[in-house]
Amino acid sequence: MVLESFLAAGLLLATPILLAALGELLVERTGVLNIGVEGTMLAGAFAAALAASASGDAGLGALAAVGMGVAVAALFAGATLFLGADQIIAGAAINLLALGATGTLYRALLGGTGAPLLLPSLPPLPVPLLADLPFVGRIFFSQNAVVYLAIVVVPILAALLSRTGLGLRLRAIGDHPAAASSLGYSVRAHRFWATLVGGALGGLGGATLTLAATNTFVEGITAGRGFVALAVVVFGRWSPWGALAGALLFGLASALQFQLQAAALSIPYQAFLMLPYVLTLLVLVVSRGSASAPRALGTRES
Amino acid sequence: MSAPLLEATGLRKRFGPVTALEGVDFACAAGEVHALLGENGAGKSTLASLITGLVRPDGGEMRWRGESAVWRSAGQARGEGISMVHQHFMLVPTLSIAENVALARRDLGLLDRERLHAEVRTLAAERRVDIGDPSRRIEDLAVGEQQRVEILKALVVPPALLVLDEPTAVLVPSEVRDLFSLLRSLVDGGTAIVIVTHKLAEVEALADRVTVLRRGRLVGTGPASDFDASALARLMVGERTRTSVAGGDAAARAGAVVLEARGLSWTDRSGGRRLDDVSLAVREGEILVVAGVEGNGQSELAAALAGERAEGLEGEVKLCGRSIASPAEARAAGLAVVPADRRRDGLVSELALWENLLLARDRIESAAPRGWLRPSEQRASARASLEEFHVRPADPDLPAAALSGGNQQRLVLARELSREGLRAVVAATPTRGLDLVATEGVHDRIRGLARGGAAVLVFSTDLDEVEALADRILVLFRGRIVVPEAARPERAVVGRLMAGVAA
Repeated sequence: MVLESFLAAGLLLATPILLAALGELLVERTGVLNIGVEGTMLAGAFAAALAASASGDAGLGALAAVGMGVAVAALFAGATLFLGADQIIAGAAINLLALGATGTLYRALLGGTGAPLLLPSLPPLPVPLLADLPFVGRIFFSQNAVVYLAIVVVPILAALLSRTGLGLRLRAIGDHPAAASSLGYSVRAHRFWATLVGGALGGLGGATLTLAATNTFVEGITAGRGFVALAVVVFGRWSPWGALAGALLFGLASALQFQLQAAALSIPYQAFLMLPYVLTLLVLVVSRGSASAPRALGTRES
Repeated sequence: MSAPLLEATGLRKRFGPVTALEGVDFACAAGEVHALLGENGAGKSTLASLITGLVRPDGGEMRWRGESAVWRSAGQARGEGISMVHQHFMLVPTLSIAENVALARRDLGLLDRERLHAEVRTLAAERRVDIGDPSRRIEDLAVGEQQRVEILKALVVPPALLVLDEPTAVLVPSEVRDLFSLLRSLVDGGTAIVIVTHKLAEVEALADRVTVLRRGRLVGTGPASDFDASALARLMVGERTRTSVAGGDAAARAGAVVLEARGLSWTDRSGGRRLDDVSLAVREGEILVVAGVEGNGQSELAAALAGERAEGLEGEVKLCGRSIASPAEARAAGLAVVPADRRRDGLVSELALWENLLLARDRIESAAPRGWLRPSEQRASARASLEEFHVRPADPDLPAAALSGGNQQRLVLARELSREGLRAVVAATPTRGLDLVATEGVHDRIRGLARGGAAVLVFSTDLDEVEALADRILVLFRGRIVVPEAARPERAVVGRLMAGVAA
């Protein structure tokens, strides 16, 4: 029972990272490095909180988060693809902007009462029959809709990249944009749309933080998860399955630290809070190797 | 000439401070081969890029099938039936041959690998382009093989106009013959062909019409039969004339062994034996030419001789009797290396010319004794090197990327061949993409190095070069060294050995 709920919580906590990492993976495969994932998630989390508390509907909150993610990504894409801004600078600016703007707007719109904000949550959607299976039913088939979506996106994205003509174009653009361009493919258009889809996934990832994992919003709620998602992309060697593994690792470590905190050992709780991040760092160091990074990652259009 | 398919008048193009083309007229018609001739930096590649929509002209007019046309992109030109075979191949190195062809076919939707491979094999057979196993990754292929993929890509949809930029630079004679017969069959089918070249023999063999450019300006155009080789040479280079010196005078001065390889063997990841028990020795003052078709182990052997220890490499490389275990050791012992792919291995495109000239480690140390560079001194000495090696434009502050292909090669040579304490030189196709005058210059310098006592090993795919340089000839075929009976065998014998036919 304890193990079941630990694993179920691990999957839930992995979902925001997984969604954001899958989005970033798609973007990076086209050669764009958007380090603004953290800001995109945070803006998504805030939009979800705002829409869900105003409407009382968590589903609308999730939709708002997707819209916000796309809007933030459009800002990044506009600056980098159309105005020639540096990708690192633009991504960092997105992170700072999201942190400042959500903090200010939160205080102005949601935090006035002083009481903690309680948001409607995404309801669990048990899958008929499968949810009744012993053990796995509770872990995998009694989750909310966004968790299912995140898991389904993994094989879809993997197949898109490796088994379709569109995926081939995206990879070609990420590895050798000039070659793709010489065949008449618009590097800019492919990168633009990939960035928007990446933003949608990042925003939705943020929504799962507020609508499923915590049911509230606080300033800086993402707490670096966007950066963990960036790390997960590298750890997973730009493969969706690898990203799934990395996100699960982080999710399970997060669930574990809750359990350890609850066990009330005499160790300061901050030490447990560090656990998922320390683990991410260790895994990145151990699993070095950038052989599979897109060749044109972070470069300007050519 | 029949009604032109493509007609351009008064084309003008500038790249920053460099005028690449000024007032150039050009026309080509269906069923004709039009040779575009000129030295490095004459503007040939720029004109080809304008025709194929890769860059847009700053002035002038272009008409396609009689109607005014300005290509907004290479894709638009491709859609109109204009394909290009690039000198620096536009292939995605991380993808397979088949995937690169699929990109060119504009495949969308699900890709079935098996079916794709079968279709690409069929396409290759129909177009008579030999590409081998289509599942191989581009970056594992030799330059010559990559070119065939590039050609196949251009022929996916039979084009109305096919532009080839220096297509024979990496090919051996038999491959050139195959390419030419392929091009002739395309022309017979009504395709217009523009071939960018600086080899006069190719003009004679193939061209119906000729246009000669010099320093961005049109200096001659007309039916190929109106020009003989010497007239074309004069137009290309201005008043300078070609001198020809045969090699082979060094047998007497050859001294002690300087560079030696013993039992080099290497097998690639897919189990292909790329080097098979290669042993050779180059003596002081000697030029050894290793002739061979691209893809028979040249790049692997060159890397091994430069001190790179690829995983699984067996055997030993010695320089002046000392075993060499890394490129740094090889350089320290006085080895200069001219890589075959100057863009990938030889230059940093973003850095200025003077900075590129400094990159060789010993030069940085001598130029910056306390860690500080003195840019003004370096610019001045760079300018001298650039002038000496005829790099154009000789502006030390331009980025290497701004140079034409031939000038980039000269830049690499300027850096590698003017080092102090040079004992041995390994040069992989050092004149690839260079024009007559530049080739002569490089050959003279290589001979000079040998006369000065350096041991020189040149990889070459070009029989003219083999003859011009070699004191001794070895042939590399399928990773194995073939030793001809004579030190300097006849041209035909070398050609047969390169093709794997017993002499």
